[in-house]
Amino acid sequence: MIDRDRSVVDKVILSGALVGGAGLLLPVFIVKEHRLDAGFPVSFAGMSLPLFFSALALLIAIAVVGVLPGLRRRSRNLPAVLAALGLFALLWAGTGISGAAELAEYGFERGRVSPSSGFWIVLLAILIVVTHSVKQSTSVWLRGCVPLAFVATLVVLFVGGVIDDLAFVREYYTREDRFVRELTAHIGIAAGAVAAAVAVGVPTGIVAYRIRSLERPLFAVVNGVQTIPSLALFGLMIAPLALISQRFPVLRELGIRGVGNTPALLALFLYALLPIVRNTYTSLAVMDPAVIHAGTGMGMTRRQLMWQVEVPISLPIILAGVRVSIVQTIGNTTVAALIGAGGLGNFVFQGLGQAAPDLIVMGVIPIVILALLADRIFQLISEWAVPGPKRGTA
Amino acid sequence: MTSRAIRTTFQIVLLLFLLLFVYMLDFRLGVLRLLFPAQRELIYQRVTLPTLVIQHMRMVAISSAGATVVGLFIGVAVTRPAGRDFLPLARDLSSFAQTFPPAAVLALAFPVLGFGFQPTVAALFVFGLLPVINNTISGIESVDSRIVEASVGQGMTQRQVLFRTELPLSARVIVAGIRTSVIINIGTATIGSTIGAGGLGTVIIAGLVRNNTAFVLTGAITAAGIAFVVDWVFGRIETLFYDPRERVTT
Repeated sequence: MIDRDRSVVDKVILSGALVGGAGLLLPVFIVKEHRLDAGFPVSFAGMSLPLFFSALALLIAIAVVGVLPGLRRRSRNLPAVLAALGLFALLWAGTGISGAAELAEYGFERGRVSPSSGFWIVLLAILIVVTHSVKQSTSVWLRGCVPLAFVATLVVLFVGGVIDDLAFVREYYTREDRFVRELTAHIGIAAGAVAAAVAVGVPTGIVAYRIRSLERPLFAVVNGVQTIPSLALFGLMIAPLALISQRFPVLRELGIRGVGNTPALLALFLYALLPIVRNTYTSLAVMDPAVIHAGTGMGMTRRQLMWQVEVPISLPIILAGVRVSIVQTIGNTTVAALIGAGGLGNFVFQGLGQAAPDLIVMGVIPIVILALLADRIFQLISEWAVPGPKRGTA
Repeated sequence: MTSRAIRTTFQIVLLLFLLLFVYMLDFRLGVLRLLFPAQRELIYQRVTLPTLVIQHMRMVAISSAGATVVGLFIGVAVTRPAGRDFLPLARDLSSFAQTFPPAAVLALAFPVLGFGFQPTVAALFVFGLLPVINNTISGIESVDSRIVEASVGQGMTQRQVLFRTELPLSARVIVAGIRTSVIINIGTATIGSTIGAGGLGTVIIAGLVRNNTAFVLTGAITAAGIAFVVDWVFGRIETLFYDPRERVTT
């Protein structure tokens, strides 16, 4: 009964188009004379009428895809995705170009353009349409390429200097060197913590499965760590490390101190353990004994059994755990800035301290992009790692 | 002793420690003096610890209650026939939103809502929604379709199917979602003090700023202890409900 309904009108795409329509009427950006200026809003129609009508046309195109089932079935929603991509480019480029024009017109030399409600709502509409359309496609290729196309569009606009007057891009240009440093630190800390968690977590998961009496205590510890608030765990790491480094000056020379990267790495490592241990354990627990028997029956040695049967079966599940853990760690690394570690969180908390929303946004955007990229890449890797005929290549 | 008895003993000891630590100043002073003999300022003077605990729990209670009500509503709405088209979207958007770090959500709430208690509660509410929505959906989805059909066959109305079959059978999973949401909120509320919301983060941040590890530890121990206790309480509540894994098969 539901299927028939679905073949007529795609409610989700249609409501995405409606949300976008609402966004068109709201202010897209705010022109500010300086960082703390309240500024005045400009809507799509205020930017330029051709721009407004092109955006409207793209939204109507999306809505049409939502209404015509035949079109959706044959093209797998590709027109909707393309229209959304067009709208995305239009939104960013339009804001950048007409924002620059407004600034020039008012002579705000140090002025800036802050995206406003309309901007974020149109982005949300694009997100709705694209997630929904991509979800319905079974092609791994399409699911991988669509997010990349969006990121690439943004990169091209950024490198081309089209969005230079956007407030958070301005914030970026005033601290370019530090941005690169903090970004590298963020990636380094997160990657280090997850790598250590994989090195320890996978064996721990195997031990928890093999030695029944250790299962409960091991999971109690790993689960318990997750319950501790992140700031509290960072705090709890400071005291013992400070003591240790006071006792042993050698360690202090190595950079191990109560505050900084060491307690951050340690806390993030502990947080990252749970998904990896749990998924390693699950991957062993769900393994069909018949498969092992079949392998043994074929005359496989213990080593062959491990590399040709057990590892291929459990790898995708373990990788899914790594994926959860890396996304979580990228987020938690933000908080590590509070205990003096490097990373993009420094911009976020600096922005909070200076009451400068643009600086906060500048810090948050790369964190979210990092988390999303890591999520996507690991999703593709773990799908690729599924043994047997590849799913979705048909 | 069985492992269950060990666990219960451990929980009682920790709860007692937490109560003494928060409410008995001399006890806290003793513990901290033992750990930090060289530190002169052991007790955070500006706000008392019990006040910080109350501020903290107030933020968590308001935001989690809101998240539970709204999250349940959304989860139920997208599993009804009329809203079913939105189910994959609700799932995708909430897993997309979960890639946002809680600290970032908090920071982004600030330009919109300003400093203090309200933006923190709003950010906690939004972030707390996601696990509730996810678990409500998977709970209802996991109810055996034959049971739902049997309920319809008995002449139950749609509303009766929801309240007498689907929700009771998925209650355990839903409570697990609320548990996750509350625990995340207790954690994120600690960061709320960076935007002036008060709570246990206040004393941790004060300790970090003044390089006073005793302050940091005071806040960290209390926040972690509360998170543990709340987690156990929810663990107990979960066991009150029907466990689909223990289904009796005939």
